[in-house]
Amino acid sequence: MCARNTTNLTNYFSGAKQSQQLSEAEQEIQQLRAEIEELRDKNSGELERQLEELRTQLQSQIGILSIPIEQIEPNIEQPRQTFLTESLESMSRSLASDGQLQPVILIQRENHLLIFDGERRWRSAKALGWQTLEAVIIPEPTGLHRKALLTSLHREDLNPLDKAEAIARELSTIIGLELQDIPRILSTVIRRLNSQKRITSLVDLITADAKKQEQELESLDLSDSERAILSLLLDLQLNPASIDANIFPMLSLAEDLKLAIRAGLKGVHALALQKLSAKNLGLSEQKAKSIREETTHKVIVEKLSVVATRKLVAEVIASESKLAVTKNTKKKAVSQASNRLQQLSLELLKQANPAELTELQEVLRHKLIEIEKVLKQN
Amino acid sequence: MQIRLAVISNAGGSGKTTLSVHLAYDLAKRKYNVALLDLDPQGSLTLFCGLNPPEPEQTLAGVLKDKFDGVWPLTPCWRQYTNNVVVCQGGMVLTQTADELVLHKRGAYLLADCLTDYPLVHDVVIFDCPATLGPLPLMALAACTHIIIPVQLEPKSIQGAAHLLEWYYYHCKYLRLNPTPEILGFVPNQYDVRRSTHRQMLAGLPEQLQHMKIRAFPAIRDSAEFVNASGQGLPLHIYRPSHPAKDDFKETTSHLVTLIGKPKTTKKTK
Repeated sequence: MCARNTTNLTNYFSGAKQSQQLSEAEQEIQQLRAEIEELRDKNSGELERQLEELRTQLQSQIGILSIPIEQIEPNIEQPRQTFLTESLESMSRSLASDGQLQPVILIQRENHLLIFDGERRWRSAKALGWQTLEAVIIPEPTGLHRKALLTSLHREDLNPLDKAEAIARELSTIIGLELQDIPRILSTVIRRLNSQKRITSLVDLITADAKKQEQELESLDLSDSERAILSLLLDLQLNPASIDANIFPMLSLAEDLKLAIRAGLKGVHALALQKLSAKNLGLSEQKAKSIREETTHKVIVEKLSVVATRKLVAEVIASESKLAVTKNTKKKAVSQASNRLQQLSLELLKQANPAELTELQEVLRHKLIEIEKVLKQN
Repeated sequence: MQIRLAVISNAGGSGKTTLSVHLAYDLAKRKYNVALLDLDPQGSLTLFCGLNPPEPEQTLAGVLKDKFDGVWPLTPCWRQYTNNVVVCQGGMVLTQTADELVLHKRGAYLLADCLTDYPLVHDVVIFDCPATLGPLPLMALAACTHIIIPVQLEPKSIQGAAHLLEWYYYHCKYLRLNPTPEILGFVPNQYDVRRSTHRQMLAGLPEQLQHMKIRAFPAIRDSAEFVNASGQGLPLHIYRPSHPAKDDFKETTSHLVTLIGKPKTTKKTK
């Protein structure tokens, strides 16, 4: 009985209990909402502080800051991870002699200043014992790694033609040599040093200090202009052998190829296309130019590789020389006919009968008219 | 802190008026000022307090009129015995009030508005509600700080009280009562110790309420003297001062006294 009554009571109150639970749950929700509101209110101060910090950061971004080197950290996500000692040494030399030319680019990540661009400068400056580096701070780009990769891959270096012209101009201005003489002088000295097997010691000088460079150049038995050119190239941390082999050849490119380089054609491709010269093609300068332009267009449009470009150039040269052979054959027919006519001596003509002679006369008269026509057209 | 106690049940004869009257007298004996507000069209308080039937304007219905001037029609009762209890009488006119409430823009909040605009100074205001869960008890719910639920130890009454709880939770939310009135507790009424169902119900009830963290006050015993006392318009304390049943209200009264004396929230104004 008792148990049954208790059960009855439980049944009576089940609805009330549900109502109560619902009400409590709703109250809890309301309380949580209130807490969220409270937290929001509290956090608004924190948010304000963060905004202020951001504002300061933004303001500082307008100018170049002097940042203590110790505060700067390399970005482990950056694609370039290899820093050759020579490369760092030459940068150190540059920093020591000319100072920091460009600010490094840093990104602010929480409390860290990470290098977005300029790790080589940072390492070199550190090695020199510098305390600060000039830097600009940018907000962290989204997808940092990808951006850093793109920065590395698509960094627009000077194209080799611009580079060649700039270097030649610099050498000409400083040393006082004629612009067109410079590549020849460099080429001569490089060839000589190569044959003397002393080119390696020259290349080693790129990272050496000025005094060592001077001493070494002294021992190479150079003319004044040769020495001046090599000294200046080394001072610019350029490899004279590489300039001779890769950069200065750009200066002697045909004008149409120079234009193509300025429009985006790669230096190596231009050098390959340069083979399509009047001499190699056995054609006039004008015809060679039009073939070269046509081929260059094909290389650009079809985005041919260096290998494919070289192959194409070889094919064009081959087909042109075949045409030349055919032309030569035709040329021969005329001269052969001419030779044969010369062989018709007066004695032979006297021995011939009048009908034969009249026929020859008719043929010759006819041919003469054609020759005159052709000559007139040319 | 002023306690505004709504005495509500969802069944007739559960002892609402008996509880209201005896709590009022007990509190008055302890020097607390009590206002009894009769929200019941039956006007039982008029009977239980030995008052004359009022003019309709002299009832709570007059207070709930829009043209109420702020002068509460409060009638002192048991004047020979205490100065601390007044009654705002009810009556049939309240049925009309209940009908009008439905259309009134502030319907459920009308009593609360009156108490805000024309506050009663009493320590305890007791709302004696009608037996149904209509607009009048709803108004009491919106105006009270606490509710107390008298219940007979019988299935019908207990089931009604359980439904009352559902009503309470629903309407507290629906009326957006803030703070929500607190359930002071259940008061088992007309307990007859000789009846086994009463004993069993009384034994089972606290457990059910405990689940819901609702207090069960000591039972008020069943006695014919309550009926006799009400017939004379007196509380048992006056009608039969030596009757032990009058002590059955003690604990509930004490609890109320604690609430009055130790306010839960101390609001100090500058």
